[in-house]
Amino acid sequence: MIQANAHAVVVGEAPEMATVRLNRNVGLDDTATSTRTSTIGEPSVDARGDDVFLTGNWYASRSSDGGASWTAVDPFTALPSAAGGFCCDQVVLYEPSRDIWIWILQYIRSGAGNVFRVAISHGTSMGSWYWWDFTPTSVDATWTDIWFDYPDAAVSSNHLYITFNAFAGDAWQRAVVFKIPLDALRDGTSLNYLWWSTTANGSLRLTQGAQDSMFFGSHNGGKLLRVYGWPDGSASIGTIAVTVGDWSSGPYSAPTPGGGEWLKRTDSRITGGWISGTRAGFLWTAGAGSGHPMPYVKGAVVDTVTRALVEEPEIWSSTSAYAYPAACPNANGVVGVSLFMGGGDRQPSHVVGFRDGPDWRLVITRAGTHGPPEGTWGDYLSCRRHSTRPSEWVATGYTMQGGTDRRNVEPQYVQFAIG
Amino acid sequence: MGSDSDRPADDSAETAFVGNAGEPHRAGGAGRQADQAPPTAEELDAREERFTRPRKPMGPVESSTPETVPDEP
Repeated sequence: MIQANAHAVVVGEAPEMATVRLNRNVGLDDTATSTRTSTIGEPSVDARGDDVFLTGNWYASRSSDGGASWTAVDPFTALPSAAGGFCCDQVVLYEPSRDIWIWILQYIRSGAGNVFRVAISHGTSMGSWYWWDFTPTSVDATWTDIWFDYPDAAVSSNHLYITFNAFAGDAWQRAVVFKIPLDALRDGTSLNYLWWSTTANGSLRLTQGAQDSMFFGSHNGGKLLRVYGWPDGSASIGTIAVTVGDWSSGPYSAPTPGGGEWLKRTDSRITGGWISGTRAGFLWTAGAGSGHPMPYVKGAVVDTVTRALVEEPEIWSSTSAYAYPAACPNANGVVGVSLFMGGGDRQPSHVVGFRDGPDWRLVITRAGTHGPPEGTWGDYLSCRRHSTRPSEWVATGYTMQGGTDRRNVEPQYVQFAIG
Repeated sequence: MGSDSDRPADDSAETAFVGNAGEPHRAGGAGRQADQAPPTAEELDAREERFTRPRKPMGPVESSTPETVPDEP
């Protein structure tokens, strides 16, 4: 057990402290992934009871027994192709109030633009999908040179929200947010939706756990954190701006045993967001500095009513880096996290845990045996509230086991609780 | 931590646009397109190689001190 807080990291366990209980902690083997793994794993997961759907680069896999066994699903062929073919980024959600699976897939550019797909399967007929394709020009007819990349997704009481970055070639152009009614997704009807975009902030990160309003945030690598709020019943988006404490947006380096690097792709974008009560929280990877000898996870929590910055949680270690945090509140508002730890004497390893007052209770789900040969890792993880055991979380991570080839990447499925 | 200076300088709301994605596509239905052949291991190796290229920008970043480049002699 690792106990981390804003001031120290302590290895050990005090008997009176809450602990992380791993109810399920499973590595997906080559059969489960068809050996289509990558060091840029980008795993996403959700669960409907013991039904689990887990995706990543470039695979998908299902389990009907809580993760004990898995069946590969081919994201290249499970659905008809679009644009230049299935690309990479996927996001999975299970929405319990409508009993629907939501599978978001990103497709390769064909010409200047590409497609992202929102596929739906009802919980009782998992695997029977219907879907809507979104092209840049179908959103805005003037976006003739735009393509979508880097999705995030979260649900509120009545809507699915999806964010993307929009690029022209390799040049970032804007961030886009989609707000799609869950009832229409469930019913498979003509899909009216709302969208909004901004050129002021990129890589907008949505808050998991939303109900009446969705919040999403971005900080542009500096001290100004902008939190956007979009009420479920409104077409208006408001903002809250707060100033966080000093932190560094890089460079990112945490050499592993043997001198390898695993943070070459890392940047400062927000990768974890949650809303619990009136408080919206965000986590991102910060560079070493300001008393942190290794890259670490910096956070900010904003009260959405008083519009004030109320906390700046951190997860850090003096010996290893923490990176790529994902976050989600359970039904009691306790914030769960899924993230990586590596560097120093540790190869990139997967960690889950939860926030306990000002502290973090973390546990390593699996230690990696190797790191990526080219230093490429990321770009995101996932953490969700378990749909039928809402005091628990499900999460994904990955490690390298037994070698440095992409085939040695092993995704991890974790269901965890407060012990 | 939170203070009056943390309050938003500009909290003016913006309005979203309306879109329509039409009816859903279903496997075997009118929206079906040509199937994609599953990739070979070598093709995925090539994709992995492309991940070594610089990551795409995350969006606008706060400007810091600009890079200083000396003149060549």
